[in-house]
Amino acid sequence: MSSLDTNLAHEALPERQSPFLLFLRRLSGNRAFVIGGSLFLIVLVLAVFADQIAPFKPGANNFRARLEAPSAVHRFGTDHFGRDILSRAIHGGRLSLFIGLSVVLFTGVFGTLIGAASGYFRRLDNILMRIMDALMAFPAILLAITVAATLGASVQNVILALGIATTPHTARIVRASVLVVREMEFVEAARALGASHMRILFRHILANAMAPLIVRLTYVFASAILAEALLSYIGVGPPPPAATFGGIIANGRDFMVEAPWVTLFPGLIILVVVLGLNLLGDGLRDVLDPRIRV
Amino acid sequence: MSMLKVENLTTVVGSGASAPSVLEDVSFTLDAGEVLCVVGESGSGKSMLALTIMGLLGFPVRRAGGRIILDGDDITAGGTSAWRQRRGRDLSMIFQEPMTSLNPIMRVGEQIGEVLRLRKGMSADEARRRAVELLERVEIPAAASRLAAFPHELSGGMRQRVMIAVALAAEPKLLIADEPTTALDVTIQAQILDLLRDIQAESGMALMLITHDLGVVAEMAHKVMVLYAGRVAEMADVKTVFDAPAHPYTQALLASIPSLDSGGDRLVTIPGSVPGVGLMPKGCRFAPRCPHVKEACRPAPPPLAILEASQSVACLRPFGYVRREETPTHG
Repeated sequence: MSSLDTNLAHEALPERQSPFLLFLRRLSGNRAFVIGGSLFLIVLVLAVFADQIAPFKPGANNFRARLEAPSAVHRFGTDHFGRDILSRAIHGGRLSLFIGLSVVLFTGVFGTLIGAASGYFRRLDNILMRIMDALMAFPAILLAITVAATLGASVQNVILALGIATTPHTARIVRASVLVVREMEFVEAARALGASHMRILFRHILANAMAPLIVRLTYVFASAILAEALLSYIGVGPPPPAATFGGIIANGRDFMVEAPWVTLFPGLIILVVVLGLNLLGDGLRDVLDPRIRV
Repeated sequence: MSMLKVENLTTVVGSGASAPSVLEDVSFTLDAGEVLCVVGESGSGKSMLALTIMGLLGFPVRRAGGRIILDGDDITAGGTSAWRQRRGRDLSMIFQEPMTSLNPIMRVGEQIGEVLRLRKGMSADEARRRAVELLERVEIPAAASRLAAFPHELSGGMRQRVMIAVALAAEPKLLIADEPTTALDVTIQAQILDLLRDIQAESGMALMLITHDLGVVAEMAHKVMVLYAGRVAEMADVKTVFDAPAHPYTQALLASIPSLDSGGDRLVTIPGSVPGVGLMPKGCRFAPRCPHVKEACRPAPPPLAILEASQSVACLRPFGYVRREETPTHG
């Protein structure tokens, strides 16, 4: 249908389409988003229904079936305690996704608050951004390792460490889009109607500045899962017996030659999740960012 | 008693006593039900005047002096928070760009309702009913069904009508319209101006209309204030401004309107441009461009002198070379 036809059809509708519905329609036409979203959705469903789906208990030892190769019973093989890799990976996905989601929430909340405050209240800008600069001066993963190693290995500390490591960049992104939106005329119009700072900031500015943040958060999700795997691998992740992707791989490190499946399958799942999230983020960015849209 | 009384308003950029001014010593009064047109070219301080009265100046621009008295209350006295409380309720403003002055992700009904709920304390239901009335008042067809529309679904003229509805929602005493029709095409301009005039006559609010279109002035104004480089050049009722402009700048502005019978002549222009902020001449700010300038104009700015009841002018040589008795007089 040509754009003219679309316009006419649009004019004729008594109840008009909301920007949100338009956005959904555009998303569903984006291949990267659909593929990435499906991959991610599969892993998400596996993680949420881990108890129902996993064939074994993730911590169930079976010393008669140690380091068994993939078979009809243990589809992904077993590790050196005879634990089923598939079941551990499914449960590990639950914890990895939980950590990823928590990091996204952490960086989403604090990054938005810090970014919004420094973009809107210009007096706070310098001090807040210099603090963020100081944090950004460390490589994110090094910062996360330092925080996790200092606080000790636990799920909360991993979330905290990755949250702190990813927040400065998020704050920058939010600040940048707040700086753009705050100069728009409808913000001035809202001020002319006597709206309070909080109302202007949250209802008028932030609501219109969310697109880059949403894209950023999908990448944070992916990199948090990767970074958590790395932290677990070097031993500052959630302590055993908790299963995470990184933890399972770390367990298999010593048997990589005899039993490559212990590291291979969780590694592939990480690949699928991160690829899925990155594709999802690319798709979102293509749809949300009009500069890239052709 | 006048609805709006502005006394010696001065707005500067930056801090300190030597901060350059964008508005200097602006005084005027405006009665309820009256339309004041503020004219001047770009950089003359028209929009700054609007923002100063609204209390919307942003750092580093600030009001350095003067009082703004609305309906007997000095609105500069209560501080920024009290001033904010008045916005939307006592003072309201319409902006130039209807395409960007509405929040793109809020439905029209919500944007009107927001003002009604915040400023009138209405419930969501009352606000919806009132919003329909307001949309009907600004002559939007099928008003009830438009409540759910998003700004991008409306045309420019429609959006400006919605803006007017939003601005009028809390029944302000003073409405400032900053070039409300500049971005619209000519037929829509006329409709919007008619609408503004009707609503103003009906509600009795004071209307301050900022424009650089002298056609709009002739159409709408009771009183005209000509601003030049942040100072009042001339203040008069509309008839006097068009029939007997006293300030050389006003004369030049009027002369630069192309007329139908000017044939193929070159358009009249005013040589030069408004001096930048901080580069103002010490005396009359129009002196460098004025065809009638003499030495006395240069040392100090000429005061705003009353020529007759309806006309005051800040010029040492009003009417230029034309002598007073040769100009047509009207009342």
